[in-house]
Amino acid sequence: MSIFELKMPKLAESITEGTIVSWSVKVGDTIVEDDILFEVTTAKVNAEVPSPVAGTIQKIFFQEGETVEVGTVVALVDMESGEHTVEAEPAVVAAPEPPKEAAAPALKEEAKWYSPAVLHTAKEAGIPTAELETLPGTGYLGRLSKKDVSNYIDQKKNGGSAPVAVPAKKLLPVHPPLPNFSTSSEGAAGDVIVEMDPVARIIAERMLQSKQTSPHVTTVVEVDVTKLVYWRNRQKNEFLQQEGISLNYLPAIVEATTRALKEFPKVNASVEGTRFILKKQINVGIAVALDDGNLIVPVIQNADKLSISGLAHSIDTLATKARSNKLKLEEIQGGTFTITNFGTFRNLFGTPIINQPEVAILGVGYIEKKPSVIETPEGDVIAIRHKMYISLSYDHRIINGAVGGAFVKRIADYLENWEK
Amino acid sequence: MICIDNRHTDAYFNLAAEEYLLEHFSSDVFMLWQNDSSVIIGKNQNIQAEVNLDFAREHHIKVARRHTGGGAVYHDAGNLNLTFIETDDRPDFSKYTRSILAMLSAIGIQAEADERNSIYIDGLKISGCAQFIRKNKILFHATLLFSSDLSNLNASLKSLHDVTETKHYVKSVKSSVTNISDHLPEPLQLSDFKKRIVSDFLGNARNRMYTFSREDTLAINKLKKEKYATNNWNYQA
Repeated sequence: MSIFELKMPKLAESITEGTIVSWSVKVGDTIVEDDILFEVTTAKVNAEVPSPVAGTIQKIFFQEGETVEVGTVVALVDMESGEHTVEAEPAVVAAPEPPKEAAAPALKEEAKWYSPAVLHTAKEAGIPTAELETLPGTGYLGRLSKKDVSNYIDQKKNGGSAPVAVPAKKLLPVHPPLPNFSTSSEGAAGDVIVEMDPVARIIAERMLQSKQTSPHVTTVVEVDVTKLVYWRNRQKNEFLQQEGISLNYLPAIVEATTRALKEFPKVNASVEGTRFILKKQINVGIAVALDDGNLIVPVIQNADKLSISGLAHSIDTLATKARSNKLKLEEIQGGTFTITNFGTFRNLFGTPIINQPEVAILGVGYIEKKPSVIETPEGDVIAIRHKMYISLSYDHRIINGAVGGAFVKRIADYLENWEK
Repeated sequence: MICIDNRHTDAYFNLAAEEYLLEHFSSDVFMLWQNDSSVIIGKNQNIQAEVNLDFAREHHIKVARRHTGGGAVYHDAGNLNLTFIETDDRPDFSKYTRSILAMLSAIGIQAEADERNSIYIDGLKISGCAQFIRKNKILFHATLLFSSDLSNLNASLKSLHDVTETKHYVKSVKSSVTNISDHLPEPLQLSDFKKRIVSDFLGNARNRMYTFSREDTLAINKLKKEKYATNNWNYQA
């Protein structure tokens, strides 16, 4: 049997030692040449060290967290281990052939791995491996660390009975867990548990709160936006040249919405206890999806006072700031109505959740060409038209069906007869 | 060697891009890149011990963990990052530092490096570096403080937590810093400094420019989503 001594490599000039961060193999593992064995770190360098040979890991001398000088043997690799099973073939006897699967009895024990230090400590204290298996580990990948074993031994000495289950390390100890959310499930094997980031927590809280506060109702209108599409096609090149940003449909939709909001003050409002607050300002929030999967709603203040190009610039600036995390507090506050444009994702229509304390939210769908019946003096004809759905979710405490329906229809009318 | 003038400014994307290039590109790579305001900690650092997380949150500063060693650094639009990826069995990282010193000298900055390959002007730090080695591939990257917001830098890297843990963590070495722009003999924009670096690089006939293909971007975004933008990676303890 031939043993290869795996040494701490000299990672670069001027490096004399390294700290082992983690092992990606354990004793008994079969490795091929170039498999990553362990990760080592110095003040500046992080390195993944591959194996120069193939074989089986026979011994690991240093645990995770230990600092080792360059040239020190850190593990032993048995390079001929593959041949052992061949040697074990039975001699010529007239016995029935042994079942082939019997060759792998070690598989079951692989589930639990203990470092040499842990085994040594346990052995000295007379703790059998079976007992080790009942202990909760706090080490890398939940492994049992030397400290876990020592603590357990101390406890035993002091008359403590059952091991105290130490909870696994929390990923985000900085924030207290969100109330109202069950954290009981640890998930089935293979499930991935992801802690919410702070923004995700706020979104979750707000969405739940909104659904609990406002009885939501949603209605949908199909809009013939052919005129709007032609208008944009006529304008877009010149617009880009003059304004330096591209023209999309959102400024027009915001303008149509603010015009309708002026006529329907109950939609630009909030509900406080038993009072309706009809807002003077019209500040329109635009939902923006962020790179990290979260979303934020920057607000166009006094959107009704802005021209199409003013709206386009405002939306462009806010969206850019949102995606680069540069929004100021005042740019996400004071919204009186929100628009969410899932048409970007080629979705037709949806039932968005109201952004509290507002009372309504407009969902904008994808624009697509459809055959449509057009009435002309010479009779009905079928034409290809650009169609888009818009949907309004509203708070039925303040907006009843007649008002909500008329409001969406009004936006649709403005868009359908778009002339600029 | 290929040169990538990477215009993405999302720290998570850019860190994923580095790993992607190291893993999938056989040619040597030189990449220039910048991040929006963010704190980037070393692979084996404790996030709470290194970053003022409250300050970062309040000031919309992203916090990200990179795959190289070293300590915590602050990035913003006034900071330039340089990445070198090469195949080398016995790397000597000081050669990259020497080429950065040459770039600085070309714009009239006399700077010097220490044994950790950090770069200083009059004893004030302007550049730190860190490395990653996977088999025989190495990645060296360095920051260059050109016109960064130094008050944000100092505040975001001042952790209020004293972390006493048994686990091995790499502790940052604190240094007083300065901006390159404060030491220039004549005014120069960071964008012009970048242009100069790129044109000098292309002066070598064996070098050429490269831009990320659609497939590159998709793969990098996937890695970002699965690793660099996750709390599991960034907040690991």
